[in-house]
Amino acid sequence: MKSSLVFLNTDAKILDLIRRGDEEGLVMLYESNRRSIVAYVSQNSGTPDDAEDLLQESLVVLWERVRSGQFEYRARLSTFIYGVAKNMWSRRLARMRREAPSELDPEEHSDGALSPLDDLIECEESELVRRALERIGEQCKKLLKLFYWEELSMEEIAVQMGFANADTVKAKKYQCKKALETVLREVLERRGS
Amino acid sequence: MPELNLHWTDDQDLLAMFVLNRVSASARQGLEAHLSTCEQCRRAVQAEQLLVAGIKRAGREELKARLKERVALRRRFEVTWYQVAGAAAAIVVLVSIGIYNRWFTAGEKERAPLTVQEQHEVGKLNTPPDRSKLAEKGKEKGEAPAAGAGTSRPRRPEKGMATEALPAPVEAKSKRAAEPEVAPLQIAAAQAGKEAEALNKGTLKATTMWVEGTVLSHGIEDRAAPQLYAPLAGKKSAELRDRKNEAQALTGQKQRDFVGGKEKESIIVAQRSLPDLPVSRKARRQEKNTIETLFQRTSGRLHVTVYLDTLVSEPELQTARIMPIGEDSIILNLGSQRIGYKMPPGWRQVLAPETGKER
Repeated sequence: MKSSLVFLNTDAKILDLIRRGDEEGLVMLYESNRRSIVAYVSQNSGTPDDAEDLLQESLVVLWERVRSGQFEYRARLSTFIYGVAKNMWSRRLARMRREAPSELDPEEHSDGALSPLDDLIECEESELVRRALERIGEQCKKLLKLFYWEELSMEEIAVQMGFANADTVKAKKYQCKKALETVLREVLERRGS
Repeated sequence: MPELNLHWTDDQDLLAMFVLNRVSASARQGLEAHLSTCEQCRRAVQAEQLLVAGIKRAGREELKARLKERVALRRRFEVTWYQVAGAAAAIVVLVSIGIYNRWFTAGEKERAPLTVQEQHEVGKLNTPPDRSKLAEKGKEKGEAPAAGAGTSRPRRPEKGMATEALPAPVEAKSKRAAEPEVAPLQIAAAQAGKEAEALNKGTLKATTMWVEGTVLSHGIEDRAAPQLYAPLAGKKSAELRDRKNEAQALTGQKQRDFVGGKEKESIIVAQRSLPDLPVSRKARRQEKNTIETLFQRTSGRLHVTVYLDTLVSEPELQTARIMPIGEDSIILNLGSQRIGYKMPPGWRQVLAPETGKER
């Protein structure tokens, strides 16, 4: 009983840190979950590097869920992370199997999952956007990330970035989005030519 | 009349909310129904989805990179329990080695003074005593050791003293027994020289003790010693004068009742220049500016080696005098210098003639 209270207390502290945008909470979770994730991945055809990558991605999922208010505390954070990591690793293994030459049978993709080609296209497109983001200036990049990735409200962004009010943020966001679209269009045109 | 907002995707906020899945289920149903009939709207939604996916991807990548960096940084400065244990073990080993060296091997490492012969050659040596004094010495050499000396063990030295009492070579002992009552000057000098040489080579081991001396005055007259020795000089001036008259500390000569309290004994006073001072003592001297002096007890003699920055002349060395003052002090008159030694507790036991004898 006492130990579970300790866990609850620690989890509450970590969640509070994440809600406030403090990444130290993720570092704490990284340290406390690393061993179990490495053990799981190593037992399932993976390497310690795969495990580290998987753990980072699981923590990013937690970060996104908590920051966007979509996280519900139903079990310990370690349980949540282990579950997310397990699902992700299963999907990654399945994708690796699909990518294996002997298994490049079109019928294998009849389950509705994305084909390797779709995966590649999706991946490549989002990579293009990521690169375009680097060219629109730090302020725009930050604003768009806060809105689309962190899913903060206009008011929250105004406070965080020092804008006068939500309307100012809204106007600025519109400008930034247009700038990003312009850069993207240029990139795509260059590729097309 | 122009069409107003026929496509809901023209509303940028609504489009973003839809893509971010932040609209209610009923509203979503209606919006999706419109998408099935509007190609332009579907393309707008797809473009928005692509944008959001790219921005999210960028955010994730950056967070992962920061996380990796922070974890690596933390690991770099992380001190694990086995690192702590290792450091503690290393400290224990180093301290043990230090204690071992200080208590058991310091005496072995110090280089013994030059032999009488060597010192004589370089002009740093006490010259041999005159024949009249040797006559007295010769008598004493033939005497039996003090009662119980052969069986008594040296007492454990006080902290700060390095001692090692080892038996003198059997050959040397038998030679001593066969010595004539009056030893010729050359033989006495040669014996002292051999012993010093053996000490130097490490073949003859001795009980050693380093003592720091303080220059009390630069005149040989009995002046009041400053600071440390002031009370001593005041209270015991009469005693000091008497002892001074009695004291004889010339090379190869015997001095009465120096440490043993029983017999007269042979004390060899030698000098060495400061650069010859062992490194461990050099550091100590630099801190305190003292006269480092090595007392070495062999079975036959007490060697007193003074490390000086300016060596005294041969005649001055000849007239060197050493005398105990009270229970814990020694005065060495060397040339114009008067050096006082505050001896550590138990020094008499350590330097007693029995200490250097065979056990």
